[in-house]
Amino acid sequence: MIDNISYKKPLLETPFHSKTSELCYSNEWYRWGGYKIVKEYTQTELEYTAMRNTAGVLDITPMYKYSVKGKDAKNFINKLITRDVNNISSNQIVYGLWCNENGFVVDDGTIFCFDNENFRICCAEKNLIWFEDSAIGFDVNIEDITKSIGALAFQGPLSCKILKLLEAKNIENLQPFYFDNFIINKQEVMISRTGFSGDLGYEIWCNPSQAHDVYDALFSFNNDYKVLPCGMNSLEMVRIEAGFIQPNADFIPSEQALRPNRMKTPLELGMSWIVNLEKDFFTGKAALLKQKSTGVESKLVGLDIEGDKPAHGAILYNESKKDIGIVTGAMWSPTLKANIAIGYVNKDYMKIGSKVYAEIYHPEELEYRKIWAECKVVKKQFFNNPRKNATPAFV
Amino acid sequence: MNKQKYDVAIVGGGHNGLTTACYLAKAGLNVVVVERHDYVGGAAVSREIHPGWTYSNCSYVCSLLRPEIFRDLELAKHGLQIIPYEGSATMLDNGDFYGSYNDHDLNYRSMSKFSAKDAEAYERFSRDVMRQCKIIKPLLKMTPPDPTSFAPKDIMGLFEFAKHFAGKDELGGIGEKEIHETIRFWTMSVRDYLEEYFESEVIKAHMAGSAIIGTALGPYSPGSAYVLLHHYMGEVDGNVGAWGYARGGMGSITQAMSKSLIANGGNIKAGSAVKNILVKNNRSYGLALENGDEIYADKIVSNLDVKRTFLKVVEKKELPNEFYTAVKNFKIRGSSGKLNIALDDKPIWKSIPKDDPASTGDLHFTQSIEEMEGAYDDWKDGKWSTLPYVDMCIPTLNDPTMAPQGKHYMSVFVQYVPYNLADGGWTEEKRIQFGDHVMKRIGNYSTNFKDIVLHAEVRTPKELEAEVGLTEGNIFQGELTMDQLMFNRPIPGYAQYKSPIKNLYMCGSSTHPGGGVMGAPGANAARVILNDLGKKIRSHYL
Amino acid sequence: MSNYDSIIIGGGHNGLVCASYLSKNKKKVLLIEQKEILGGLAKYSDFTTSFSKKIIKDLNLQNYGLKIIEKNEDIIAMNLTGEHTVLNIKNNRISFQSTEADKKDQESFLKLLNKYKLFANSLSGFMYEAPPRIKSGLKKDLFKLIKMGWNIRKLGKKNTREFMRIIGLNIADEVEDNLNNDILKGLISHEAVLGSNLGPRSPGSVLHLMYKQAIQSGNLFTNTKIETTNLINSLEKLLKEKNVEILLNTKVKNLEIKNNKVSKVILENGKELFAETIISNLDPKSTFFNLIGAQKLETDQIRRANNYRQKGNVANAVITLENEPIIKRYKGNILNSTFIFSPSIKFLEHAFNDSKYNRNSKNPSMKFNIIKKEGKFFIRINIQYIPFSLEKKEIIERENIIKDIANQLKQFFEKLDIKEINLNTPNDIQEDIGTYGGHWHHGEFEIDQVFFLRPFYGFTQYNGSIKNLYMCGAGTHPGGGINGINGHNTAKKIIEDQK
Repeated sequence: MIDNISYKKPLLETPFHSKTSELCYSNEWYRWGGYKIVKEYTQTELEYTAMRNTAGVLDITPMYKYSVKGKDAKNFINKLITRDVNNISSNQIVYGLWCNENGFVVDDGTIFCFDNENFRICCAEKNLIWFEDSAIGFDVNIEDITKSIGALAFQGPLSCKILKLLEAKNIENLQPFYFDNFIINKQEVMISRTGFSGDLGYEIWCNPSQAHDVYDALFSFNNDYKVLPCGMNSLEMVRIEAGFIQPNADFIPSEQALRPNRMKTPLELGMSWIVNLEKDFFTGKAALLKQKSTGVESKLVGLDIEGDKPAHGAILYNESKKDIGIVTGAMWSPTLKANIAIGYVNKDYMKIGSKVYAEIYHPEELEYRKIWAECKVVKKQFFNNPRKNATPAFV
Repeated sequence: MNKQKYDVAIVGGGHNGLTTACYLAKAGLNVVVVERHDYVGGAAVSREIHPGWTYSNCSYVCSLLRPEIFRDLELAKHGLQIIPYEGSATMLDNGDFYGSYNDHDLNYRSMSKFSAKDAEAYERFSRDVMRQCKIIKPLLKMTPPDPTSFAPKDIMGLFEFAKHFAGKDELGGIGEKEIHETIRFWTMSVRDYLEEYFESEVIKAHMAGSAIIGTALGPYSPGSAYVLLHHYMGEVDGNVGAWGYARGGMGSITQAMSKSLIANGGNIKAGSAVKNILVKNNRSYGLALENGDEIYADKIVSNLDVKRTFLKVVEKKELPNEFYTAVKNFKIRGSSGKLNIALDDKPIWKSIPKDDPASTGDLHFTQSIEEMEGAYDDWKDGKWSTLPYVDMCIPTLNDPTMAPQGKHYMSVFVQYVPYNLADGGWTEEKRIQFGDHVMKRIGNYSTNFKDIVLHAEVRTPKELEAEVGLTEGNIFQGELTMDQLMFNRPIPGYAQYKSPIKNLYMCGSSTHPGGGVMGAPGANAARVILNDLGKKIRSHYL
Repeated sequence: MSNYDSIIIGGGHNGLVCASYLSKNKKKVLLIEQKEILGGLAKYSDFTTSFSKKIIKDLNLQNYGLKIIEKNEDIIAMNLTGEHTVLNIKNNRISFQSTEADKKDQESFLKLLNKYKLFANSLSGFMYEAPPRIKSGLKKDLFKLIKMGWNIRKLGKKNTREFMRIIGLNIADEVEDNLNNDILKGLISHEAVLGSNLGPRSPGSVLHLMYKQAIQSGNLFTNTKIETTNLINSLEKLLKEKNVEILLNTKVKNLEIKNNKVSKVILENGKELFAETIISNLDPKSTFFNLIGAQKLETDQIRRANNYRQKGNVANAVITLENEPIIKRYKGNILNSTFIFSPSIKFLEHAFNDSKYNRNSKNPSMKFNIIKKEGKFFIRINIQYIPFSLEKKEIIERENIIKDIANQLKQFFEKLDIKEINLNTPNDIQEDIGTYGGHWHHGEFEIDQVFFLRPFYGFTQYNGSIKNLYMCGAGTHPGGGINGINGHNTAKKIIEDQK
């Protein structure tokens, strides 16, 4: 793909751009991975509701996609990530994260297995160099195929129903964290049952030349079931409800962190379930073993906060008004009718049920009202509807 | 004869001398800056050499000027304005160019043209260099502790120094791994350092330029990565590593400083070359001027480089032998030349598209580090580089005040140019030859350059020395190598702005933290003097 | 289930010394060597002048046949245009026998070397133990750092300042500040950069020179030497007496790492061996990429091992002569002399320039000895700079180097009848022994790769994240040279760790 660089047009457009720009009535855009991406199409509240009520379509093309091919592909991935993929099967997907030698998270992502010698890693940050350096000694070839694949997230309770109406064969039996090829609107696409919304949803991967047809297809039944294009603002809402971590929001990737103490280990992120310390070797294992025995100094937890003013960027305190943490993501959840947040608390307050206090600054017509709100430490996964994993999925 | 006694007399009106003077004047002291020329500024001057044009005919871009000094001296109030520029470029022989941009995404795409891996590596590279900048920033304003002294203030100073690395600071604390990285960075060659990140020759050459400006080191020399840091650690508006043009030329900086000095009750005596610093019983007490006058002051501060101070204006008999020898051996070798060119029109570059923001910043045509090292090899042999590294810029693309409408001023900084030419030394003919050599090379990359040159001022290290007073034309007032940095600068044991002679201080770039238009040496010296006088003032910097 | 307490991979002199100390400490040791004889890279030298006296004493090597040869030596700094500078070394003291340099220069020369000797001696105390770690959080490291600083400070304010000034300085500036005579300047510069990737103007060259003096009891030139074959043989004799098992002609394929420990040593012939402690005498890159294998290295470790600079620059040749050679303008005993051709800083600088661009020096510097063995005469010569090259050099390059050496040498001899030149470039050395970059010192001795930074973060105290794997070769502190200190320190660390 020839890149005609011009200083007048610093940003790239995704294959879906002509469609998304037409639909972006608010004209709220931002830069993601060098692309122009919509923050809000119409109103964030409506977009969020679509993802919890009908379905929403998000352009996630800027996600970095790397192909990992070769005899040692599987062994390489096993050394890279903290989970064990030895028993992974074709068409299966694994959510994993990879760390540096000190156990600090480099990034997280989904790993797609085509076969033992063919994988694809999808992640939010650039990782080509980390992968290539990690792959030294393995018979494997890493390639950045980001630009050659258009990607859409199609999330919501009706997502499966609509795909079925589009004649995606047997889509309802696609299990969570599996993918396969389907035909929708005469286009052959790859669909995976993955997503960032914490609800029933899919990600659709296609060739850029198919972009318009695939995009249009998803809105085919809008007369009966209103599907909305959703911007990144609404995605931020659903992911907080789902309790998913976000690089550069909840932690700084170790390859990017300027300040050493902004890097976090999976244990500090509250993701010890993803670290398989029985596995023989992966980068960071020794450090994580050590941290497991000494314990973490702070941990990312969920917070259920009193009142209804979201605790954006709030500092967390204990009863003695001592500084013991900070909020990294907050919202008022319309679905749960709760004031929720994700944030770090010191080890003394990590236990579920612990009580901490948030100092919230709420903007009210040019003045800030300072609110002292009590918070209860809860599990990060606020929203967990059974329809998310139900197979066959709801049609 | 002028019998007036000042509290402090400062020899040399360069930016550091003016900075010291301003701080001392603010503290209520009666100060005078004694300057040889009719104009102050030293190497930060704007001169009208060609009628209608203003040249920043020595230094040409601003970044290192400490923001706290900017505020303390109220330079904005006195007319100083810095305009950041948007990009830089290296022009290639094959008709292409490499553009570096402030716009992060555009920069990434531009680098990807040469190497996708390098474009990604650049993020980690900038993070690593930025981290080094943050680590070193507080060290710039310290008076270097004397590690050999057991005096309480030096022990405390060493403690502060160690604490900086041991404790929590702006970075939230650094560990063993980061200290390893820092030591490596301070001692490696820029080439080895860049090789760890980048594969494209062009990108490496573009990055390495900052490591060789003004030095007698090549990109392959250990210690050159530190010079890169030295050039990255400035800031414009909190944007670490950003460079900008002083509106009206670099003279605006020193003009604003002199206005600030006068506003604070200070004095400037221009057109008064100093012949000698008067010393009696190991105490300096005044200045003897070339014209026969004498000026008396309780304290004397020299803004001249350490060699000029102690080998020219202080008599040898006043100095301890070892100190004198050490000053003689101080490394201050000129390696740079400068061309200041008045242009009748905007230059058109063969390889850069019109109006591309990369053309508004620094421009180069060295395409590989090997070529840059070859330029250094020539200098070692006493020749000007056959393929010189140039740092060109056209401030008038952003600054409307330095040339008539539609016309432009181009500054060309050339590396490497020896102070001592091998076969016979510099002559007027050779100087012109050198200038032509550089201009011919520039002409190769432009479709109209040779037709629009109205005037060119060609300066070799000899001219820089003669006019500005920098020994051998070294722009840093001394090499920035480990043996002459921190508590070794300028001489081990004399790194705290004081000389062996009582009441005689140093405030120029020969002292810590070194050269470039920083103001830090001047401000640090002021702090030491105020401490000695038991005076204190409120300031952002001191 | 270990058959041995320790397995040492690589029979170079550091491995032999390490095995000696371990066996002295009642450990059951197995030593594996790929060639049919022990000695490794030592075969490229006939003599060593820096082998540690402490080790000789500790191991009682003289009882095993070690002979310390003490003969008056001459160092001849050769001059094409005028008189050679001939230094007599007697009782490790240098005196000028003949030179074009004036009396003042001669005094300055000795004064300069004595200055380095002073600093070298105060550093030599830190040679024999693991370097401290910075900010490890451990009190013992902090204490060691303070002790180091105090050792220098003890020399007095003036000397401390001088030390801090010259530690980052380049040798050219130092000699230009102190000397006038080109030959003398070229001689010291040559010694400072021999075996490194530095030129005389490169910062760090003074440090390199001080290191060389530090490992030779502070002396740049000495007249005590040991024949390397004699050294290796006596070490071998000691090992055999201590029941150390030695496997020759055996190459290790790689190590099996399980749960962050070395579980097996796997030989090329398929056999598997077990030991509690595995010690690699190979260079850091070989250890990391061949023995451990990149698959079992953490990504950051791979980067650091890749970034570790290990590019050899010295070619070694053995020239067989038809008959006895006669050197011009030197009347002394050619068999007790070392000849150095590096007549000025400029000459050396130009030789260095070529190597920067990965070219062989057109006019390389040379250091050679004339040896008589079983009635035949040989010249053993070190040529710098012949850089290691990643690209395959054609045969013709090699022929050129050989031709050049012959021509350049002929300038110095009245009579020189060359029978054969056996050249070993850094590429050849890598091919032969396997050392990456063909680098004798297992990696550059530059400020960021010495002392508590050698070879790199995480492995600066002879072992790293894989707890039972140690490195004892020149890629560790204190660095290269046939002194055996690395082997001694590693054994010391192993014994300490097991307490």
